[in-house]
Amino acid sequence: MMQRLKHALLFSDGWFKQLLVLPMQAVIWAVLVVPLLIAIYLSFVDWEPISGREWWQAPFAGVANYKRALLDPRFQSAFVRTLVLVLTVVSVQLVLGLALAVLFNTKFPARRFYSSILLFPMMLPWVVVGLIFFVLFLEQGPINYLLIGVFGPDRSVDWLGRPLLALLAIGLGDVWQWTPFMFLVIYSALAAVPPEPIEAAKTLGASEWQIFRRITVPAIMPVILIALLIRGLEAFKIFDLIFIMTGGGPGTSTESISLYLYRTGFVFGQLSFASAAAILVLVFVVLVSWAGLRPLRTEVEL
Amino acid sequence: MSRGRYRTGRPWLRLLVATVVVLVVLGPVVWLASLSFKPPEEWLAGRPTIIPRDPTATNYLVLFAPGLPGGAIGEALRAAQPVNRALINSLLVAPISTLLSVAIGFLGAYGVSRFRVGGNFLPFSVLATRMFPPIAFAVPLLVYYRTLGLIDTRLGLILMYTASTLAFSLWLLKGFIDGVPRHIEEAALLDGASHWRVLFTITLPLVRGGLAATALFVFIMNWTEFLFALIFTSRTAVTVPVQLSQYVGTVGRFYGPQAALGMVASLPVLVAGYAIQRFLVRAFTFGLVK
Amino acid sequence: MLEHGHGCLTRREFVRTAGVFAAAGALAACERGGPKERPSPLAVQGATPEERALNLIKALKNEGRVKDGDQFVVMHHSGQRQQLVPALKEWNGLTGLNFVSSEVGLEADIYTKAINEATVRTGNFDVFLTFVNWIADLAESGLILDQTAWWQSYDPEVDHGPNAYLKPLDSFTSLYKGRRFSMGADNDAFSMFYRKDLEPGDVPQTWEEFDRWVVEHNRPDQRLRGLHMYAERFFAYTGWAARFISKGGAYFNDNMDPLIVSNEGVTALEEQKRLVDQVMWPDAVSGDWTVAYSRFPEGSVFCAWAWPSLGQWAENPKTSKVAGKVSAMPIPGTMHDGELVRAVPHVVGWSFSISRYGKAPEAAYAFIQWFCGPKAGLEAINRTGTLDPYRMPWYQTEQMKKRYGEDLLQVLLQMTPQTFPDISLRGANQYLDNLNLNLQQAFSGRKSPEQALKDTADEWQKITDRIGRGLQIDAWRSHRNSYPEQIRNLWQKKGVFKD
Repeated sequence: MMQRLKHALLFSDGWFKQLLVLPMQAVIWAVLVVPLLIAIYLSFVDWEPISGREWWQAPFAGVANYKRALLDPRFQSAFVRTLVLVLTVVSVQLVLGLALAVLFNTKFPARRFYSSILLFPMMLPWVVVGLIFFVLFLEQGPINYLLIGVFGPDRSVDWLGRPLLALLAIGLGDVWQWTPFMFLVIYSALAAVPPEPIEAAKTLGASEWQIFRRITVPAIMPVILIALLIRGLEAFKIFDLIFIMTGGGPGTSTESISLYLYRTGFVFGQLSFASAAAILVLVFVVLVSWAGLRPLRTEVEL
Repeated sequence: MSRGRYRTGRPWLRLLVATVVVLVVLGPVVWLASLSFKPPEEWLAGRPTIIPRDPTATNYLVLFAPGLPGGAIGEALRAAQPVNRALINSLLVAPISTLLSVAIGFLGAYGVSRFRVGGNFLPFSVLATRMFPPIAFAVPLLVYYRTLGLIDTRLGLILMYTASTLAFSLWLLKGFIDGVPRHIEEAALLDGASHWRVLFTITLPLVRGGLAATALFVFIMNWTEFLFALIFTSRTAVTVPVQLSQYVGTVGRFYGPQAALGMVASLPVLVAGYAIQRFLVRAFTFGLVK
Repeated sequence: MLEHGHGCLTRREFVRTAGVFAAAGALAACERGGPKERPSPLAVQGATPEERALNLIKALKNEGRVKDGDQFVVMHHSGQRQQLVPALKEWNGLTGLNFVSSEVGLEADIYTKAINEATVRTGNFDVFLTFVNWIADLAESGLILDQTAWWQSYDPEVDHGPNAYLKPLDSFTSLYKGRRFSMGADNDAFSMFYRKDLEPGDVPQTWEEFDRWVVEHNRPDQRLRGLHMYAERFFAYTGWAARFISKGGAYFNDNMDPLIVSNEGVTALEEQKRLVDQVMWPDAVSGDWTVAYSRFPEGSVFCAWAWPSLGQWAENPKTSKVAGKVSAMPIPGTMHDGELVRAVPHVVGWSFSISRYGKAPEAAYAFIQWFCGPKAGLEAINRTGTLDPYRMPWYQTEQMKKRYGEDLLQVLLQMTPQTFPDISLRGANQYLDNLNLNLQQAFSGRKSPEQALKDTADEWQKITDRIGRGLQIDAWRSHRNSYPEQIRNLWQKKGVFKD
């Protein structure tokens, strides 16, 4: 009690504490709040640069842009596609990451060295990962060479030219790059599980699997949830990889939501429409993070 | 920390599985490295090899001094653009915005950790900047940056990167500062030291390691950023990732120089990443997981 | 936003900082005035376009509107680097100005960056070298200047005299709404290349004969496919359009209702899809335009459909395994009552336009007049790149015959008058992008040909309504008159349009 009072007295300098966060506040305003207000404004007017008008002279458009976005099949499918891609790659990453973490939590030669190699992919720039997987999956690339070698000629696959295969190639790229993240998070969480309950369970004759199910998994669950949320939100932004590998093609069959917004907003200059679509996406992300952060907040000490 | 809790299975079998995994992880990178040393005839050779049959450094040379090598390779590559400007831009933008982000984040983190300024709202609204898809902010920022004259300038990128990595700086440094026992600061304050003095002579030295780790991680983020750079630069402020994407689509496809540039672009972040290996979990999860 | 704790303090703080930023914004806004007014043209003498361009720079210097060392930036695609950059150096040597190149690696990015410039007005660019069908958008956005007055005063000799452009390039690559908004530096009449070593005999004249012909020459067992025609992201429509128009189809009626969901449109797509499935490599769909430029010279296709510049790559022994074994043929057509109607798409057509926001637009104009001049232009075209010869006399020069092969030049002289323009309306990029996306889905089997065209037509209606139907109707009515006479006669016979 005394301790807390002392702290409250000593750390109550109003002028000083406001000064500390002032630069941060400025940045938040400059890049979050003001742009958001502009985006909201743009989404309710009708403005494209090719209209030749200034953006503040644009006519009011009501909810027309929102309506168009919601009814646009390309927006809908980009949204659904991104969600499916995120759910798929993140679950694969979770399963592989968990398996690797358990594997590396056992003893075998070269374990330490190997585990540091595993971190490699997630430190590479996304653009470079895109380039690597683009080159690997080229029609005359090494993957097809292996396929031909194993299954005979005429077995080469046009990876980036077929909708599902292209998505698969992109998904593989993302899994390759980010499974290490899941591995790393779960690995360190496993290391932090207190040994006592496990020892106790062992003396009681519990099997390895029971110990894992009943003690280890519950202990690392909060960490896994945070990792899933963060990875999910990051994966939802996917852009670089697709931009480099397929540009959203063939057709629009690998277009993610970010790529769709980029194309409508910046390639075709429909900035009002893109703003409305972006705000719809923002609302979705806010809802997901809000729901996702709820259990998380109890974990984070504030 | 006790390792090796599960003892079923043979270690050599586990080693085998782990080796396969490591090969899958390394394979693609090795392929890129190998491609960067191959002459044009081998870029899409019928029989791909890991070791180039006729290794060459040309792909690296043409990046930084186009027109230098002669012969058929030179002819094919002469159309490629030198990356010197992109490299200089990246070397300026990434470190400067890292310094700014960490400095602002440090002050903010101290305020949030010790004074709880802004309650929960402030730190979480900073976190939100990182959760939202950046493309959603690109449209209004374009209009906004135009008014401020910041399009295609390094300053514009620096501000944007400072802002977009602030979430990492704040949350990571908050974690480190939370770990510094308060009684040391309290003792100094009771002795009559000013808040600024306490901040810079007591807290700062104690979180030195944390600052370095945060800075390296933020540097990785800034160095690899692509979307904003793609949209907001056109000529003067182009960065390395954008330059890399520009090699796609030129006549004949310059896979070799592209791979070489990929290697050059990866090197700094790999070094930075391994330097802070210990902190990576924290870093990638904003310090939410320690 | 996510959590409401001690929010009041925070918000007060927010308001304070907002003031600072608002002030900064207002200040910056004041500094940027409107576009610069253009003074009336100067009196300039000279015997050739190049001389007049150089004298124009001298006059501008005398007036103090430019001075030595002033920097001008030319945005262009990397495919033109070897043609443009040496010319910039030469020009700088002649004028003392400092023209520099700003290269873009992906064509579509040039449009993106130009439209961005229309929005943000950095003044970082002076000259754009773009697709000609983007000119409508660039002009309407206010980014580029009307060059008509300059053409009248300084005469680039585009549409008259012994050095004139091959018809109809003089109008295709410069006119929008009857005004000169750009200056063409290219001939992009699509061309059909084939291997004369494998087929010394006659070439097919109609699309039906052609389709059988390429199937006959399809030898997958020898790593040789019958054909490469684009089915990729940006140019998939070229082959379809050539068939569609030669069958007597038109993109729109006079109310801008799409006419592509018709017998002509669907049949054309079915025929094209059959070839994609039967005789093309998969990268016809998944690759980009450079695929033709690697496939044909490496000898893995018998026949290829591309821009004339492919001739340069195919005839150059340094880049080609088939040099000397190559010939070009007229684009096949469709028989209508005993008359063969050929329709050749003119696609891309790199053209120069001048930014309104540049430092000295008139000096930038002087450069493009010089670069497109009869002599300087020939020197530039004679280096490898994506700009192809566009002035009439160049087709007779020995350099060009060696560079492109004589067959191709003959075919180009014959076919260029049969070219029809790209959709050159406002939103051209949006119309074509939708068309391409849907065609790609038809090629990859995700939509039936009819469905793909129907979806395209629906999207086109939306685009037209968004841009303004009245405006587009006017533009289309004048635009369709630039189609070749044979095709306009065909439309008349079929009663496509009322007049």
